[in-house]
Amino acid sequence: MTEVIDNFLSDYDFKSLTHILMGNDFPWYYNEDVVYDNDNQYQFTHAIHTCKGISPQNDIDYTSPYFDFFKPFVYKLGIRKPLKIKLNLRPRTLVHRKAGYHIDIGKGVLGVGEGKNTAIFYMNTCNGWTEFKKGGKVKSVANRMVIFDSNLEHRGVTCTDEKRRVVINFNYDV
Amino acid sequence: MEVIDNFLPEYQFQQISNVVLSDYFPWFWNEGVVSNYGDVKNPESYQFTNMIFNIRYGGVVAPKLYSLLDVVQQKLGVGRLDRIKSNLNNKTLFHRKGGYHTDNHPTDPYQHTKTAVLYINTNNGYTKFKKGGKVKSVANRMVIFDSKLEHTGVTCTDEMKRVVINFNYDGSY
Repeated sequence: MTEVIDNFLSDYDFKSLTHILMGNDFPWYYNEDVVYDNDNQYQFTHAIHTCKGISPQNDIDYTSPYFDFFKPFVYKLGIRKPLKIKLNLRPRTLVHRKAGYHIDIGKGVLGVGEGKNTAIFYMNTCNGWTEFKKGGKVKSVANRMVIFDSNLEHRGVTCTDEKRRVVINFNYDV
Repeated sequence: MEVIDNFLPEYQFQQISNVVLSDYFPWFWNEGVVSNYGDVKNPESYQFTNMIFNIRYGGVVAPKLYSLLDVVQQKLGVGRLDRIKSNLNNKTLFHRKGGYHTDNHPTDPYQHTKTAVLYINTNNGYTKFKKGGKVKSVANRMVIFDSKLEHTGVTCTDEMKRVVINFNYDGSY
């Protein structure tokens, strides 16, 4: 089941988070590809938390110094154990560009597909969206959260009307 | 204006470019390309930067990269350093000018005299000068010019990104 929740955070929490994440003091890291190697797309990311074992590269738990700002999400999503929390920034494109369909963590890895959830939080309103392979799409609206089963294949689509589309991805145990 | 190809020995340039082009190098969002010139509202105007040194921020901001750039300063003959900043501009469908400007802030009482741009990767973007002339983005190329010369960066269309490091300084006396 896919659930969309508008005004997910309180106004105060959302404004505080916006001030930090959308400001010019927040570090972003350039990624040469978005979903697959050499997919001829790029994005900027910031890993907030990655759990040991989610991929061959992740051999230790990593937590960003910014993790504390994400505690409202931990409580509101009912996260028992975060597997991966990551911000994505994709600059505006002249036409909408679709990334490849994917799930965020490989099937079976750390029990993905067994009651794990993926959630996407939209930091800004723009004409980009998330779409699902089985059908349906969720528009990028600031302070909106979409929650779905981690097995659902999905992809992000860039915006053409704002300078950037910024989302936060959560993968977690409930 | 002076253009110097192969400005650094290959191994020194690789040390710098490996850091700046890596997945681990932080970039900071800027709402405009030439913010002093009021382009923030232009929806196509943004860039990512990393301030490495700024005298107004108390000097060294990014110590690791700053130390790697010591060799560049020596080769440029830097006397008084004002600012070192790296810029990343994404690939665009068509070449896009950032906007003509000088790197001196118009209200700053101290105006540096020299500007230098070190090109970190090769692409079809370039630096264009208002009075005429352009310098293509070629890795390990340096262009040095009078800071009063208005110039603009132009995005690339053939690579994913165009990365440069700007130096603003006075020469040694």
